[in-house]
Amino acid sequence: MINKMDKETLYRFFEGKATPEQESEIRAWMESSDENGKEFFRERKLFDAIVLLGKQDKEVIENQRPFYTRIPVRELLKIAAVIVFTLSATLFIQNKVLSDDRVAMNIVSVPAGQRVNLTLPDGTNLWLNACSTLKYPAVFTKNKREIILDGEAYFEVAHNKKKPFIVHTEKCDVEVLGTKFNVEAYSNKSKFETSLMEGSVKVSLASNNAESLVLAPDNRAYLEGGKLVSAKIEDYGNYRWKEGLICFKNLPFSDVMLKLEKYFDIRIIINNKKVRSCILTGKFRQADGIDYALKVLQKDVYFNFKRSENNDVIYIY
Amino acid sequence: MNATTELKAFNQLFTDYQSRFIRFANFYVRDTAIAEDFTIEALMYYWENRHRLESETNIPAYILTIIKNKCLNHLTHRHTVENVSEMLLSNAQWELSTRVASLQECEPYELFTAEMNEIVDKTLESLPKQTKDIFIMSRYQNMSHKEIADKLNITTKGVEFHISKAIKALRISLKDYMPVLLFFL
Repeated sequence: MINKMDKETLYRFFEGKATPEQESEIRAWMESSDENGKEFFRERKLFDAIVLLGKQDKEVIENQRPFYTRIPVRELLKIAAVIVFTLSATLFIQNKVLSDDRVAMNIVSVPAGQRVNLTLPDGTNLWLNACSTLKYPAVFTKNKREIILDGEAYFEVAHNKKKPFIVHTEKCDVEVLGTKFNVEAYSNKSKFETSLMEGSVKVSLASNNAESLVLAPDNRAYLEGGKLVSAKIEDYGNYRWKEGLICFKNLPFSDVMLKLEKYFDIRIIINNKKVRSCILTGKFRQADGIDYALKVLQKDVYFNFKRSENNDVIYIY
Repeated sequence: MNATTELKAFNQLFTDYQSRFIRFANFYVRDTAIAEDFTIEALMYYWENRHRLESETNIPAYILTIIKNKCLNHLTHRHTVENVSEMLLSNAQWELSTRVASLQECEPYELFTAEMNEIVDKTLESLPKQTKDIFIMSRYQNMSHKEIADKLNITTKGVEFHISKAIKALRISLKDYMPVLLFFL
């Protein structure tokens, strides 16, 4: 009867790395007594526990990189808030940090009518709105944390005095230290706006970082005539998109249509002059869809709508 | 819990547990693609059915149970347990049968308890800083031995030594806590 089995050999076996000789050894040991068999399963449980347990050390999360190489997209699309990952092919194949300039980049794209919540390698939590794309590195290696946004996102940035967090958009850059703010910067629209809830940010033109503006909480910065201007935040309902709500307060009909265009990636052409200036206040759930929203509006505003043949334009008449 | 907090909590769950679940499943099914699929499917199943669960449900244990069952179905699909004499069973079949048996013995709700997590955390804290850091880099951040060695300027053998040391310590602390295994037939 074989009494002892080296634990290190057993663990290699569990990992699938034991040699054939070791495997035979283990088999003989297990079969030589019931007690050995029991011990095998005890050690396996310990092995499993070591694989699964323990809290993440928040401090070191900075270096976390995604384990997976692919995700079954069809499974994910069934869920309302979903991440569609497109990993940059050439860089990710190498699957490691090569040098400061060539870090594997992750790209997250959100389809129309949806939104996503994700956590970046440094612990920053953010919400991405419909029709938005975010590019961020798998690891924040340099002395700055830089990401690229096209669309709208709400950030809760993890504090790190040594590494400023910078959001690059097509028209402007937003630099923060640790804070909560919303950025709206769809590249296919001329509007840029960033709104600050907590903390402090510096906004500058992408084309000329010297042209900049520092924001205080409860204020927003936007582009007007190519220049950065600041004003108070008037309606916090504008940022409730992360709860899946489209809110508006005292907004003209045409502006409400602009919001719907944004969330549902559709063009709306208003052929009815009278309704354009109707002032509206209300809320819609993004998940209910645009037809529902328009039907609800019809209860208060007199208009009709129809879709174009290929479905990407809605006419209001 | 409103929708926003719920989504955030789910996202945190993903971040904390995904790679460990994939690793666990991979040790049983020995196929990374399948391990990833099972893990994502289990997380999504939990998300879709979360409202049907009792409020005090141990969520990691629930998800691990789903993964365990998927892995078991997968393994037993390929391996029909027959009444063959032990002498005739090839080593590969025997090895597969140990994975099936081990997985059947796995108890997610016994594993994911506050006490178990605490023991692991305490043990890791008691290790010398470098040993602890190396273990965390390897297990929780998925860095390869070579990457860790390069980052800390030591040899891969050194990395293996530290990981081995951490596992030994964890094994000893957890062993005292583990309930005694029932007789395996």
